[in-house]
Amino acid sequence: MATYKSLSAGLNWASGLPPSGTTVVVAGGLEADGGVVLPHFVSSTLDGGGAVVLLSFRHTLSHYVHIMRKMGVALSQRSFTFVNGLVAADLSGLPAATRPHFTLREWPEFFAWLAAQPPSVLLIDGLCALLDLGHPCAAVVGFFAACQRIVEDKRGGQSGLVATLLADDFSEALARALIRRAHYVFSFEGLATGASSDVSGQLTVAPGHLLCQVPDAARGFKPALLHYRVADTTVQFFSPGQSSTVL
Amino acid sequence: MKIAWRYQSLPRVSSSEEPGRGTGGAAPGAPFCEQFDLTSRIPAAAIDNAQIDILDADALARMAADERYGGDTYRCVLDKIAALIDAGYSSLKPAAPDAARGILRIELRSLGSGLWRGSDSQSILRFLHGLRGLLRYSFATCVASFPSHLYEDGSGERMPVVRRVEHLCDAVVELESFEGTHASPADIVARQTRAKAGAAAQDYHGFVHIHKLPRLNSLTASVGRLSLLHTGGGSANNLAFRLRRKKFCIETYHLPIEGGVGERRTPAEGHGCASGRPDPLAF
Repeated sequence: MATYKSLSAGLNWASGLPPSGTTVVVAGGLEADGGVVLPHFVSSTLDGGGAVVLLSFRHTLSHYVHIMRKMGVALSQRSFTFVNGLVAADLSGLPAATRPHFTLREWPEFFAWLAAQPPSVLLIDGLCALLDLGHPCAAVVGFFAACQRIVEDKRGGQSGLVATLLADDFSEALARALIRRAHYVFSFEGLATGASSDVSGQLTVAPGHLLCQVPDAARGFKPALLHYRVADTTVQFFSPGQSSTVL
Repeated sequence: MKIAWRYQSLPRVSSSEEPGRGTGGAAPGAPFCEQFDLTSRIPAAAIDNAQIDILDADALARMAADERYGGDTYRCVLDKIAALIDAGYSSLKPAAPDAARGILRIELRSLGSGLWRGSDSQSILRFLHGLRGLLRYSFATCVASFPSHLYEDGSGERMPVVRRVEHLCDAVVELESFEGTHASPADIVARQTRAKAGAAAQDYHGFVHIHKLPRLNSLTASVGRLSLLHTGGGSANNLAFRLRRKKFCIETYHLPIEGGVGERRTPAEGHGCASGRPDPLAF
């Protein structure tokens, strides 16, 4: 996707995706939502012939369908599977275009369903919602680790795990635990100098604990500090001070 | 004669008021839902014809005391809202052929206050998560007030749960009142002196902070692009409110004129160069 080319170039990812079998943790805040990077992973995976499984605790399928449609991607015609984690109600009455493919109720049931899926990139939007629902931090980390094992064990295609969460004092322990289990960490923050109409926030990409443990793996990757601007149909990433309005 | 040629490409702005479309006390000519007379009363007939469900504290306490809820007010209210939505405002059910779709407006007062009792400290978070799920598949909207001052520790810092509550809501607006805050001597004198009561009335009553705007079906908040006040950040989001007898105004906050409007801007007779006294700046 053209809008995220600068992000791929800044991270030295030729296909726009990290190596297969890796885990990315995206931490955001109230001022800067990390969910803006999800369309990048969705489109890059689909453009590369892979499959996407999106588990969302925050939004409905129609929310992502509208966003991707504005960016020129029709999810209905691609290998895209949506898992509803927001409500436990029966959604069979929805139209096919906005009906989830699976509803998360019992975790073992979801794990079995996920294991039966073809190799795909699993995106979890709003993982910290499990903390809000009362699950202890250790249980949420266990859920994350189980998903990570299932996804990384798959062979024969692009696979990986991307999880977004709100990083604050309430979820600090969860964020720390997930960073220790990730290869890459995306941190979205608001500008330290205050809000701006030209820059929505800043993104810091750093290697996770797993990447640092693999010999020579971190050499091909360079941490990046990027500013970004979110529009209705595009998300532009650029080096600090290099926005189009400044130039 | 073209005087302001640079403005010729801009859309024309009508100086006359357009015929109003507002109802329920809106001023004639005012756009819908922008002005509301706080002193106007809703006609009794309109109230009688409306479908209003009120769950007061006593009724809520009786319902929550049921063994199903065990005193958990949040679960009780959530079930009540789910029942209301299921009774005709759910988008999961097709509408009856002869029934018109309406909007269910839900108001929650002082969510998280002492009247709301939960089974544990995260009951409010589970409630908001469940409420968001209900609203996503319904023709309903909800406005809740949250007393954040009850969630401050001894040093005045807000507890982490407040940020979680903000995250679980689609829009977050904070009203920061000046009442009880440190007042400048000029404000104290203005309140004590009747002669300057007019100037004091111009003062604002508090700040308005927009922390979050709805971002449904989009990466950006469409409300922000259409708003004349929220112009994108920076120093533009300095909003203040004034509570008048008839209306509640939200305006961009501007610092008052230094010295106040009552101070003389031009030198009086007997001062300055014209009076014959030497100008200390002359050389």
